[in-house]
Amino acid sequence: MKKLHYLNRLRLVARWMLSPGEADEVIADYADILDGDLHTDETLYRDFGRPWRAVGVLCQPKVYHNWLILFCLMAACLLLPFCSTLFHWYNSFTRFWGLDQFMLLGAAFLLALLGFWRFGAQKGQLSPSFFVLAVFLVLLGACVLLMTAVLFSPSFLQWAVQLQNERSLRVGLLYGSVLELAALFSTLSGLWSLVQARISDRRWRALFLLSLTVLLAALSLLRILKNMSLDSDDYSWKTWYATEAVLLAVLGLAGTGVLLC
Amino acid sequence: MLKKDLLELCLLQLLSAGDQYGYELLRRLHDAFPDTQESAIYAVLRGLSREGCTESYRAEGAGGPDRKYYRITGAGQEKHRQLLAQWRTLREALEELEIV
Repeated sequence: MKKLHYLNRLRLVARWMLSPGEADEVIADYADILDGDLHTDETLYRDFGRPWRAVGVLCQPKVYHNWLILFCLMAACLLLPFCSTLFHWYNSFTRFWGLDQFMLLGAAFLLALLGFWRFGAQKGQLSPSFFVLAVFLVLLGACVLLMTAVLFSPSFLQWAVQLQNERSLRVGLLYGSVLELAALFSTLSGLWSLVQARISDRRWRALFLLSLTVLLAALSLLRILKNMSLDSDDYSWKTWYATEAVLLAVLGLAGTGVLLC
Repeated sequence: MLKKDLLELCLLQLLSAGDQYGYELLRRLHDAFPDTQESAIYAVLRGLSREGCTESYRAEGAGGPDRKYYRITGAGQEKHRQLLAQWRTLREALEELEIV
C-alpha cells in the first residue's frame, strides 16, 4: 500500500519539478522499478528517500528555478490585486487600477501563453474538475456583472439614497463582503489552476486567466463602491466604467479561449 | 575520483557484461554500496543516459510484463575505459602511499 502512496507522491513531485517529458520517463521508470522491487513498506523510504529528495537529485537547478520564477510572476498577477482587496488598498490603487488592470491582464496572458509552452504539456482529455471550476468561475463572473448592473440601475441608486444611513451602510457592507468573497474564490481558483497547469494539463492556464478576469472585475466594482457618492447628480463615470468592465470581460474571455488551445 | 564517477564506472562495468533492467542494476549497486540510496543510483543512471552512454529499450521480462532494459553504447564504452584508467591511477597512488 505504501508503494502506491509513494508512487503517487512521486508522480506529483516529478510533474512539479521536472519538464513534462522527463517527468513522464521518471514516473514510468519508478513504476517499473517499484513493480519488481522486493522492498517492504519499512525499507522503501529508507532506500529510496522521500519523493522530494528522489526527484530533487534528478532536476536541473537552472531549469527548475526558471519555472519557479515564472510561477511566482503569474501568482503575483493574482496576489497583487487580491492583497489590495484584503488590506483595503482601494484608494491607493485608484490610479493604478485604471489602464493598469489591462496591462496586468495582458502580462498574465503572455506569461501563461509563453511560459506553459515551455513548462507545461497538453495531455488527452481534461478532468471533470476542470469543467466544474470553469462553470463556477463563469457563474461567479456573471454574479459580479449582475451586481454591477444592479448597482448602476437608477432605481437602485434612488432606493439607496432614500434609505436611512444605517441601512444603506448595511447594504453597502453586504455588497462589499460578497465582492471580497468573489475576489477570494477567484484568487484561490487561479492559484489552483496554475498548479494544475504544471502538474496536470497546461490548458488549466485558461482558468488562471479567467480567475484573474473575475478578480479584476470584482476589485473594480469594489473600488467604485467605496468611492462613489450616492447622492451625486453626475454619473458620467458610469459610461466610462461600463466600457472598461465590458472590455475587461471581452479581453479576459478571448484570452481564456486562446489559452485553451 | 568522486563517488559519482565511481557509481558511473560500476554501472558501465555491469552493462558492459550484458544488458540489464533498471531494478536489477539498482539492486546490485545498492548491495555493493549500502549507504547509497537507490534513488541516487537511479539519478546517475539517468545522467549516463542523458550523456548518450547508455540507451534503453523495452523487452519482455522473464515470465512477467515488459521491462525497460539498458545497454551500453559506443560513447559509454569510451567513458568506461576512461573511468577505468582513472580508477587504476587512483589505486596505484593509494598503493604507493600504502593505504591499500
